[in-house]
Amino acid sequence: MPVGSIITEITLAVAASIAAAALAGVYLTSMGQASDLQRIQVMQLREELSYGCKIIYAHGRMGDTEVRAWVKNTGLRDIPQDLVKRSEVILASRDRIHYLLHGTASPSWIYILRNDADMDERWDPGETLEITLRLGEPLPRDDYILKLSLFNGAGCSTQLST
Amino acid sequence: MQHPALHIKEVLADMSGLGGIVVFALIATLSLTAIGYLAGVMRTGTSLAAEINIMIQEEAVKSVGRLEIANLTILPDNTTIRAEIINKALKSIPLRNLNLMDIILVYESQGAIRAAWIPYRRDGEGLEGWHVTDITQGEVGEIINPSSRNFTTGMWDPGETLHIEIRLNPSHPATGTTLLIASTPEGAMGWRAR
Repeated sequence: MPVGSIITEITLAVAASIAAAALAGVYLTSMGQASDLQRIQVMQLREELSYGCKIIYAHGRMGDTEVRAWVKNTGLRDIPQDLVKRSEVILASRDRIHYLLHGTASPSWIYILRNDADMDERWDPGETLEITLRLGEPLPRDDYILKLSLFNGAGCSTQLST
Repeated sequence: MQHPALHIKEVLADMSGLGGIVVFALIATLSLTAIGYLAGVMRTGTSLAAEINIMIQEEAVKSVGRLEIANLTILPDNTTIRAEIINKALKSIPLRNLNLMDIILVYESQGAIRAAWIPYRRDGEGLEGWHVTDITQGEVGEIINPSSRNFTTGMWDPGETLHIEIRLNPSHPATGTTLLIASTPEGAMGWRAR
């Protein structure tokens, strides 16, 4: 066999091997990235599931300017005060929506920790917040949905009629 | 001068080994690609299955069951209320965690509707509060995880009845319809009105 042909075959073989390795590498990298992306999504979902709440009862009457609700931490993690204050409260009826942020001025919402068993001032699992919605105007007779949205988007809701 | 057909024949003869190499390279490429794809699929599937398994376990922990309030009595003084709450939740509640329970009363008081979260008072003292008076298994005393005399140790187990007494602020007596809402630390709930 001529030397020229041998060199050509070796060159082609090396090129084919490099191309195969590069292709396989691209595939492996892509699959790894896809896997990581899915893992991140699942982790985010798990993070949301780790935080949960349940509104035990919400109380407001026609003409009241305040609504009170008792909310239990049914998640698996405690929530520090700073993050509790980043929660948002929505009180919605067919005609009106009150969107409230934590604060002192009206309209806003405030809270007290009713049973801080370990006195750490964090909202631990099993502990209950009493939240007060200060609407700044009297509630008309209607059906309402009260929703508390935690800092990470997890939340809980209940219905009440005035 | 050589015939052109003979020249092509010689060239093809010289390249007889090239076909094998190309086929080998193609098979190698396909094999590596398939292995890479399978490895990726397995890795993704395994990690997802592990994460989903953890999520299912965590959700199972959050399944809580419910409470049943079997009896609700308002004594003639209108400031003392007795209730019997049956644990139909899925697990026992340590008595040291009773302060994490929610006892909420919504009731008519002198013409107005009042909603109050009643604090747990183990010793039964204070202006307003609730405390445990007994834990029974049906009509008899509890058998498993018995409580201490002052209800600081022991368990309120599934099927057992927690007898509680609620003392209202004398300035806000219960004078009409009364709703009791109870919740365990995990959020298992029950309510009863009278």
